[in-house]
Amino acid sequence: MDVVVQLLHPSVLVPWMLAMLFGIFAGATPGLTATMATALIVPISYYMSPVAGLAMIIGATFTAIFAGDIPATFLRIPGTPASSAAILDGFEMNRRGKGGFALTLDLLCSSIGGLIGVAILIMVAPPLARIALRFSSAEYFWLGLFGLSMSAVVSKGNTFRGIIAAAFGLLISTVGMDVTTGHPRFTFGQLELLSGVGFIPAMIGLFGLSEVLKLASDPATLNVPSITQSAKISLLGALPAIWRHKITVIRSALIGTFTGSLPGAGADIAAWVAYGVSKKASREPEKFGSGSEEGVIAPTSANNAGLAGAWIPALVFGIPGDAVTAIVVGAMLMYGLRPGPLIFEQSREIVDSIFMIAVVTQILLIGAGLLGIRAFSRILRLPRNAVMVIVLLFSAVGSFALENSFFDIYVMIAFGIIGFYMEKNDVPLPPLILGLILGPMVERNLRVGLVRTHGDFLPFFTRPISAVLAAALFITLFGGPIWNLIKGRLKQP
Amino acid sequence: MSNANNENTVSESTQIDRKHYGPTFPILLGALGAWTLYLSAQLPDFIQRGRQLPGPRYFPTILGIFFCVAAVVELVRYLRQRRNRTVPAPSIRQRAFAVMQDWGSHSVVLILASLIVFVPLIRYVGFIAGGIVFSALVMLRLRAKWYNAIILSVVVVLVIAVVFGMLFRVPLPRGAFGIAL
Amino acid sequence: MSKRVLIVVVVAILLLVMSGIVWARGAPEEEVYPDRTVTIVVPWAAGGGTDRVARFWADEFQRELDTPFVVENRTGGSGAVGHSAGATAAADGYTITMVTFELATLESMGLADLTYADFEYLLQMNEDAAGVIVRSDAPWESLDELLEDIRNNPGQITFSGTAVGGVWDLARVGMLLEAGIDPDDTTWIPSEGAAPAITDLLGGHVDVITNSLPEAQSQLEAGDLRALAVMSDERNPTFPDVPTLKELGIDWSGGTWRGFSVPVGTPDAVKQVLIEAGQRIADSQRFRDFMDDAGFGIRLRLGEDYAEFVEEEHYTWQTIIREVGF
Repeated sequence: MDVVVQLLHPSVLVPWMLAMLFGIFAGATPGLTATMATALIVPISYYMSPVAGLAMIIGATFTAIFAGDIPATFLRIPGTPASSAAILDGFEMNRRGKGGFALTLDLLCSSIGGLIGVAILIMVAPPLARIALRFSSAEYFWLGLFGLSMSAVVSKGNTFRGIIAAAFGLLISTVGMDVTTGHPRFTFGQLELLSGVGFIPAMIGLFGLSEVLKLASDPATLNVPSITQSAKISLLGALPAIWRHKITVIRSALIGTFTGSLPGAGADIAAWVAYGVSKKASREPEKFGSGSEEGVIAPTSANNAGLAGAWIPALVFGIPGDAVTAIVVGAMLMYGLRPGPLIFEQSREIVDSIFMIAVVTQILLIGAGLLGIRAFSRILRLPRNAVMVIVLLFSAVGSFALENSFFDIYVMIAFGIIGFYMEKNDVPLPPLILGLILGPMVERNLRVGLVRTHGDFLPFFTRPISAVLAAALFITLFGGPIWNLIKGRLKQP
Repeated sequence: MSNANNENTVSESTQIDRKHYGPTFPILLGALGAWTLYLSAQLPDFIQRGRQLPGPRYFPTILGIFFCVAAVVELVRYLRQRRNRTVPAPSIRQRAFAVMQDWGSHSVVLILASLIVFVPLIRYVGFIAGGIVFSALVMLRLRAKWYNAIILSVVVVLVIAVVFGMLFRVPLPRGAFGIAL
Repeated sequence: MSKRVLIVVVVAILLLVMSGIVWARGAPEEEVYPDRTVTIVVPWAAGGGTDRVARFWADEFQRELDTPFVVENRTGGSGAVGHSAGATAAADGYTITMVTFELATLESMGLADLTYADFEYLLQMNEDAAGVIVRSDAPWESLDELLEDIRNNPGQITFSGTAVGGVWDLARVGMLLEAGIDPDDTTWIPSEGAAPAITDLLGGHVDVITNSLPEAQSQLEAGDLRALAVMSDERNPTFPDVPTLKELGIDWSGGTWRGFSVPVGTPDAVKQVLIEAGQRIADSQRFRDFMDDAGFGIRLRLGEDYAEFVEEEHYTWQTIIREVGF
């Protein structure tokens, strides 16, 4: 009860609400990420109580992850890496004039997914963290490969060119310093490339700039507003859809929480895996990629749950599950709290406050999110040529902002050209993003795993969790065709 | 309006042939594969305790080979499709026209060029001045009314400067003259 | 079309002229340092350890010198990007760089053409020595037992802590060389930082990590992990029971450090202002509390002392890196 009173005190409540609005801003602006918002909040929070600081961080990150879906749905520019999967069906829905509905659905599922994730965090954090500890190179390798196999799922029918796109993404991901040996690859002497091609500039270029170029090559629609009918927002209208797909919501949230709890994988990967699994499990998989409700629900339920999941190893071991919790762990040290095995005994009130804050944030998220959607759809009422220029400016500044690097603006332009060319040639773009996200995970873990085993590949199959993951991958890839084959054989005689 | 329709029909007739199985895509893909293989070959081995393990070149080499194979597959697809074509093949002129349509006539190259110029521009005159000039010019090119272009540009650039520069403390370029303007 | 373009061009020229006027007015004035915003370049990401220290110092400098100090993160290439940006900035005192240990290895590792000689030094405020940390159920009770095991079973024992050639990897190599063991008799498992390495150790996927003790403080206090030694000249006051390598007869110390530098050619008067302000900050209780809470070791070296230290570091690590041939 004390906890509740503490949270309702204006010295906590006011910064908390402000941080949520800040999160909406950060998330909806391409190039500003939840990580950046957290890094900015932490120095301010030193002058406040730890509870207020944690409330601000939790409030800002959960709203930012949702808000990333707003530009992804309206403009096809993911606001944060975790919302890159929202460009698939959310944007397609928007194209058919249902952007408002897609985002309402998205918002509610974010909140529900977050609640499920937080519930798991509260109930089973320690045992789940123990499982996450058993993950090592071999397991992450299979998980990454499993994620990559989703590129076939998101290829919109052109599977072969989808695989080419994924391979291109993998190639881009090898640019920079090789982690296993420290040797620079494909950097052409450019210092900026040592750390690899920036993911955010690449993403903004591929989707944002290429979309602007596509519109620019079609002059007929330039002076009309981007959305003709107002972005209709009706919370009640979205509820039946969620009820219809309740299994998808729960399944995706579980996938998200678990993936998030792995220190080597985050909310971005969680969203793609949930999307792929939902398509495989769906009764109408053909609708995915052309504006299906499930395609909107799955990734958004997973990424907010993944954010909650990342807190599991952070609290239980003091080991951050993603970039945000890495900053949080540092901030907690500054508050004189030491996340780790002892925190549950030594600072129980703080842990309870964190849980309480996380739960309430999910509910407040709905209000803040609606505000964000409303504000953003205002921009879209401008004539399309104005929107295009705004997108161009934000793309350039957003690419610059993350690393304060002019080079990243050129990276963004280059990927804009690549994206435009690829779409003209019917090469689907989403697999490229998958390759870019998962390339390092697959390559590093394969090679580091082989260093561990002195070059022996056998443990990749014999370690227990590894074997299960490998089997799961095999079944998803070949299970369907083999089953059909067997069924066909049985019917023939 | 009739002009726009006319353009559409032209592009549609050439689009399918050029778009799905044009010869440039396999050629580019093959070049990418060859280039990848060439660069990977220069990367060092990785030997640990006398045993050769997959090193820096392992992954890029696999990808390079894949691109080469994919290029062959795409080329075969293109050739096969060319053989089965019922309509006459688009002439070089038609093809060049179509490429120009994608890249040239409708602002695409202009947008790209202005973006490329945008970077040195904001480095020397600062983000606010450079941003306003850039945005106003591009809006004009995209057929906005001139007063709209200028008003919107000023508002948008100032909003960005406030959000990024003040709220998020991104050190936006202030220009060679060291002023925020 | 031409009319519209003309108007925009006129506006553009006006803006340029205006900025020129403001610039011309500002330039010839005699400057009292600092009279405008000072940028602190940090070669590591926002929210990390180095960034946190830098932001604390930015606030303190701002208080001391009554001028805004802002942190600019220039990440990438194991610190190569940020260090290079800092070294090539204008030598007017308005760009200072938070240099870290990696400056001593960038050149030897072939990452950047940059050495200690590309900076002038203000002060160092931190040093964190490498530790030798194992799981609490590990068979080795002391460092000697661990080293003996490595000698008897070459190639069996795995170490981790950071990327290949990172500070904790090099500290391991230095320790093993000094103890007369071929570093190749252990296997280094690259990781992307302290957190994944600790996870790996807890999960039983590696045997030893050489991270600093504060990085593993939670686990050490909870009794999940044990420290066999620390690679510093003196014991860490937070962990008084952990012996130093020198006490154990291995003449080796190594670890990471952080400090402030300015580009070569910065006026002495400017450096003096910064060093004096820095000294006042370093003497404050607030600074000590900050470092203790965040788990960073305090080590103060000023001006010339710091410069000599960095030069020494350069040659120490160069030898080690050449020895193992990264």
